[in-house]
Amino acid sequence: MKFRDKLRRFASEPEMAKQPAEHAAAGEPTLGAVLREGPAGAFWLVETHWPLSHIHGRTVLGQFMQTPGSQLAFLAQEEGLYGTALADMVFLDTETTGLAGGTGTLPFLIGTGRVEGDFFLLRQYLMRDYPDEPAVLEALKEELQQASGLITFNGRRFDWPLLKDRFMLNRVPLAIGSLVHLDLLYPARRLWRYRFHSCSLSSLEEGILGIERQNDLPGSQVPQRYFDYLASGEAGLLSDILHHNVTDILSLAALTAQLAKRTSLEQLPEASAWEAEGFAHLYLRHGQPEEAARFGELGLTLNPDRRASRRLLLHLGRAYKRMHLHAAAANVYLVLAEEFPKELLPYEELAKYYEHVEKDGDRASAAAQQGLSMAQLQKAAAKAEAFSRRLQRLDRKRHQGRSVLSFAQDDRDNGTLF
Amino acid sequence: MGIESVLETLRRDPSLHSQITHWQKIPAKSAQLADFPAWMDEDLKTVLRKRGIGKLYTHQAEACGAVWAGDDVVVVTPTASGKSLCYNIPVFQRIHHQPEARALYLFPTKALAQDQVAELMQWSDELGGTIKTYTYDGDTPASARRAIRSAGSIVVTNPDMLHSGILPHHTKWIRLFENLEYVVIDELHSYRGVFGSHVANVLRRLHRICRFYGSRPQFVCASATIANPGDHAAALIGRPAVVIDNNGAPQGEKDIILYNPPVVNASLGIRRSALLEAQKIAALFLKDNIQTIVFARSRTDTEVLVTYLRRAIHRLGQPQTIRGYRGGYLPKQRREIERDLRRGEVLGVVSTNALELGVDIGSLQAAVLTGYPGTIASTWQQMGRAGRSDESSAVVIVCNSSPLNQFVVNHPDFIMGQGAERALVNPDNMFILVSHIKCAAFELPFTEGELYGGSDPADILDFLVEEHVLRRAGDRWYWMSENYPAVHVSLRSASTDNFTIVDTTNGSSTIIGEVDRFSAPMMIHEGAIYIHESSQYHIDQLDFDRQKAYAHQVKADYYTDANLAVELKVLDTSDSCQEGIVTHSWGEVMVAAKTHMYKKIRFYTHENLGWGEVSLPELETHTTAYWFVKPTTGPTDTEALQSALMGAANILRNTAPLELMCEPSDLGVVAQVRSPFTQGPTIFIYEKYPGGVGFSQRLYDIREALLSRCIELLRACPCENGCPSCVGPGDEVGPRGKHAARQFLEEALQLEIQG
Repeated sequence: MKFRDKLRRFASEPEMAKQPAEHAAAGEPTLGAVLREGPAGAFWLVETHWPLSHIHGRTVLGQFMQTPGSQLAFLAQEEGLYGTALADMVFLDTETTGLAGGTGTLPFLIGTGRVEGDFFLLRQYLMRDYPDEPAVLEALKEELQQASGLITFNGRRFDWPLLKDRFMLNRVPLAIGSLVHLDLLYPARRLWRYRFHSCSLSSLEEGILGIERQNDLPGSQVPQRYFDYLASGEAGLLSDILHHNVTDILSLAALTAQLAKRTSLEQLPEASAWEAEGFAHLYLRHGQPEEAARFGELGLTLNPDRRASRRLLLHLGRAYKRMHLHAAAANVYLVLAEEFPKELLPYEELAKYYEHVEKDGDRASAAAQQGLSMAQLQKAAAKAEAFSRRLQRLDRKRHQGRSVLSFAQDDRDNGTLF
Repeated sequence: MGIESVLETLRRDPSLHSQITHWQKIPAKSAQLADFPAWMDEDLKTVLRKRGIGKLYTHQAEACGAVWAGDDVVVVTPTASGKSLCYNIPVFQRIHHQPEARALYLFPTKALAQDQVAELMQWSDELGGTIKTYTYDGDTPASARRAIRSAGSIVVTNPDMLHSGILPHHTKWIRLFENLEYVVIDELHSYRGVFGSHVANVLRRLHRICRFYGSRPQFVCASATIANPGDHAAALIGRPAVVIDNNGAPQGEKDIILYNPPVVNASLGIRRSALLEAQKIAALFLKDNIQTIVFARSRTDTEVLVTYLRRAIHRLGQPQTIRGYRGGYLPKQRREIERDLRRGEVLGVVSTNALELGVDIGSLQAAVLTGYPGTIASTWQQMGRAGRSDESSAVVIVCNSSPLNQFVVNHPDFIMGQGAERALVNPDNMFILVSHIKCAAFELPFTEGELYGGSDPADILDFLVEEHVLRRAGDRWYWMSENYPAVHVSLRSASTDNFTIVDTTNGSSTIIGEVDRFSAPMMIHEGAIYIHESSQYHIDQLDFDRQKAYAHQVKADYYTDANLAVELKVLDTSDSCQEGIVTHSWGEVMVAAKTHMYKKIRFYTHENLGWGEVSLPELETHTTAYWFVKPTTGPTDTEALQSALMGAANILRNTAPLELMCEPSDLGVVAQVRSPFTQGPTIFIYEKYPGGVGFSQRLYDIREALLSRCIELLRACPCENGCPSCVGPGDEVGPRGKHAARQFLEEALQLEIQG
């Protein structure tokens, strides 16, 4: 029986709906909708069981379970993950009547996914109409209370605050303290911000997960589709939304696995120079130059494109410098100056290096001079000014024959030796 | 020396004295004091004593007492009478003892809100710093908002922010709404007309949200002097309020002088510029080292006056002691000017009405008003800026040649004698009401039987269901749209689909303003001069379908006035009465307006400089109007009747705002020689805002005073055959227009016809 027909039948024949949903056998899962009734009212529940071996795009659905939460904690910058098993967390994604926010936005469909036995259990809480909301929230609350955390995509800013508002509006007390929340958007941005400009779920599906949605209802059409259903009572109109939401949740699971996979250096797949770049950057920002250097070096071996090369070299130079590997850093800056002559930082760093480490005033001046010409060409006034001050100082130093050890004030202020 | 010598000059100099139409002395009045209320905490008293306040004025004590007793209160006293103590004392007392209690303060502008917060923060610091006070407006950084929502004991904001930023997100403000004890609304008089009608609805929504969270805040309002503070407060907050108006603040002696600039062209009725005359008089005060405030009518005028006055008193060698003050100055700069005024380091300040509201600048010794500010309430507010408790002060109102000004300058009783005008709102204006019912439904579903603003909104809700904006399910109505309705409702205009004006000067494309749909053909037709923040823009193109006008900045010495061809149909008569031969009515009308042409009019002198054509579609407005019909007696000279009607209509349109606290542009007039509805010569005054905000009914109620006032103005106007100060220039209304209009109005009132 097609989903569409089933939904329609259950909508018109509630006594049939009370039958438990069919559990899926291995292979192609089936979808089913049942009417759930409780003290707070009724709603439609669609449960589907997906084998953990199911392959979504190019990822095995259950793969994410093999990673301990702690492995993602650093990349996600979420402390709570250190003591949490991903298998105990619940994936969540909502479909709403709008994106504007505020109390007039209804999450009419809430999809969750979690591991249950050998299956990935996907639950969709669907409101037949507005008054179903309290019943949905009561049921959702129960599921959330059993989970040790949430995994979402942009849920930190959208889904979760919205749900908290709905719990409050419907006076359903949410006895959940601070929930561990893995919002995949942030780690995804750290790795792929430069590769996929928007880092939207659909761009990641296409670029990372190998999923091309077919006949998918675009998210922007979801609210109107729900309103159309409300107006007509045609439950069949909802099947596209349910389908869209299923794909979203499966993609969250796959994306979690793909992110986890990239957290170990050894497992970085081919041609993932951008991921290495993301880690190098993250480690630099968190004061771990050694790790940053490892990822920087690795990234350069993973066939980086020109944009990735540039950023990898910049990270590497900075990492070496923090590790006091000044000669190595200077080498990186030489390569940068050669390959990316428009970049101004290498000239500055080289000038400092020659002046303070090599104590070679002439080469320092030459580097500063190159920087000055380039800055002038780019009409970067502040930079040009800095280079020209540096040149004047180098010049003065040479004429006064002062010790080259007397550091320039602005270099000392950098907090490193040069 | 001092103020007496300047007053002496005004008395003695014949060229000045001959222009003075009225001179009134208001005697000094001593303070009436009362002890601090018994319930006040000692440390709160200490905060006040540090500011030199050892006792309260009687109105403050009475207001605090009423608030503490649980009443909703409106305090009505003049400028600088210490209104803010009336709400700050009970609010701080309550929160000091009950730290979870919350208060919401509403001010009409951001600047006033920020002023108030500075003061509140000082109080809070002195009380131990636990009472957190924040402004929450468009400028509040996102990072600070969370803390304000959960921890702000006193949240200071404006109605627009409450409407679009707070109420639609009430779940994020649960701590505020659950514990809301006080809502403070200062400058209550500024919430009138369309703006006030919107704000009344925002407050209805606030009540709903508070009910949801189980709170019932008290309202403490403060207002400048208006005729109907109790009614006005009740209309806004939806509950009766106790009026406190026994001002106990002391007042030194004050001289109030009305000054009419000399006529320079008698036949055209053109007078010398009020700006220049005001400059001359202000310089008299400043040269004698008298701290003076000059109110100008626009931002440009402000700057011009600053320049003139600096030049005029330059000989004293202290040019920096004259400052300007207006919107557009940076807040820091404004604070500095306010401080220097308080310290007496600034001798003279020229301001727009920005300083009319409650910004603390201390009290000055003289005020010069350039032109009648438009309402009696504003006039008293501005006059109140001069006046110290222990010294005499003076106010000079320099009128210009507009009909309103000419009426005021020749009828001192209008300002001095009668009270201020009534502030009018119509929260049930259908357009405004429906807009806010949408917003309210977005915030919380409506439940069957729930009242909104005291009546059952079921019909509107069902209509919105038909419009697919709401959904009826069970006993409730739910919001069913992707839109966030509050962004589509601007509190400062009645119609929702606005036209934007794009400044293309120097290849830029900046949006400088918005005009509502019904005003667009009048204000931003091609060739119009659109004035925004005193800058003038020439409208180059109006794209009516896309609702955009493109303009570039110009410096023109004229403005434009579009001529509307207006057809008016009466739809329903709400009330009607016969007085003599005249029938007066008010009711609902349909106005179909089409703009055909516009005039270019020179500033100040109102000379007609030429005209241009406009081709735009006709617009229909469903609104309300007041009208009267005076059947012709005997044989009719159609041409004379036409010019009588036109002249009478013009002067009515200009005089009606005197009674309504509105701008002349809020009203339109239509004169019909033989109205298809009344079958006789009829003059309609209609409201331009769709649905009307209560002006028409008010005009109907005061019809006799309105017509008498027009007649008085016509009798007093020195022009021969009509001028911009009365019925309009003679070449517009016809050579006998002025006379015919007067006769028409006199007949209507059954007065003895003069001349």
